[in-house]
Amino acid sequence: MITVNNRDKIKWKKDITVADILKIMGYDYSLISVHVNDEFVSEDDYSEQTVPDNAKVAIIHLAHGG
Amino acid sequence: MNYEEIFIRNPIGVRNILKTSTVGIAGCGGLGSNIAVTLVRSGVGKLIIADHDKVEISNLNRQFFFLEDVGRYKVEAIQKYLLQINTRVKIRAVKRKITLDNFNCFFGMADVMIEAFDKAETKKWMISQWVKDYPHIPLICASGLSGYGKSEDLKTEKVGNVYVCGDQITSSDYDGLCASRVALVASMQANKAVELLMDEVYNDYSQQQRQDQVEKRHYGS
Repeated sequence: MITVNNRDKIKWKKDITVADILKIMGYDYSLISVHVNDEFVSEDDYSEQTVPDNAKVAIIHLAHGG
Repeated sequence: MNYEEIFIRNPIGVRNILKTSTVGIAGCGGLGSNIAVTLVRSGVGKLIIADHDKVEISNLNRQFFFLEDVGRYKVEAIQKYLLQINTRVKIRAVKRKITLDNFNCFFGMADVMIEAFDKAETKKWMISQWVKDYPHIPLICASGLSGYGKSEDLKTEKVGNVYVCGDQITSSDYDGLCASRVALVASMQANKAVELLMDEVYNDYSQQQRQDQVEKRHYGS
């Protein structure tokens, strides 16, 4: 099982990638920062980086304003 | 005049620790200007603050500037006010646009870094580059501080060495920026910086205490 943002659960499967998780969660790739088990994932690696079972994935939404 | 009397109402020990600390602030707008003032009042000894913008009349609804500042560089205006709070604070005011290529030059000495940009794209590259270059130095970001009210939606989330303050939803493009909510998130960022600086020193102190205890056990007191 993969936990997203300490809230949502996704069933783990072999070779599941960050891109798969973003698709399941309905995120597009713009203006987010993705971290798997506290490690930052570069946008270039979303399609290649696999996510281990029991991983904690954080998807931070970056909004304009300051 | 005893300048330390400024901090006589601070929690015990805070000023002694913060006065030797350096905090970097990227951006001197609604977040950065208010964060800088709060950190100097908290007792931080050195700030590095960077922004290439000048004060505009539309900034006065939420930024720590006044009518007389319109047309001045923001970092110069805020430097003046910070020195009026504590003449001994050290301010490095950088009138440059912060980019991927130059941010290392300015912020490499920071004990804690604060992202205070306006644009989400800029926040994004700051996070991606900071975690690569400085994986052990905290970066405190803001996302989702627009609109008004809804204080209960504001939170601080930690991921690795990155902290994100705000609701991560509201956007200035749709919700507008109101001083009451922008200042709340600015204070959350400043408060987290103070907390981390205090924790860091206390952790070092604890490590030293532990080391002392080990030595006592081995070699006697």
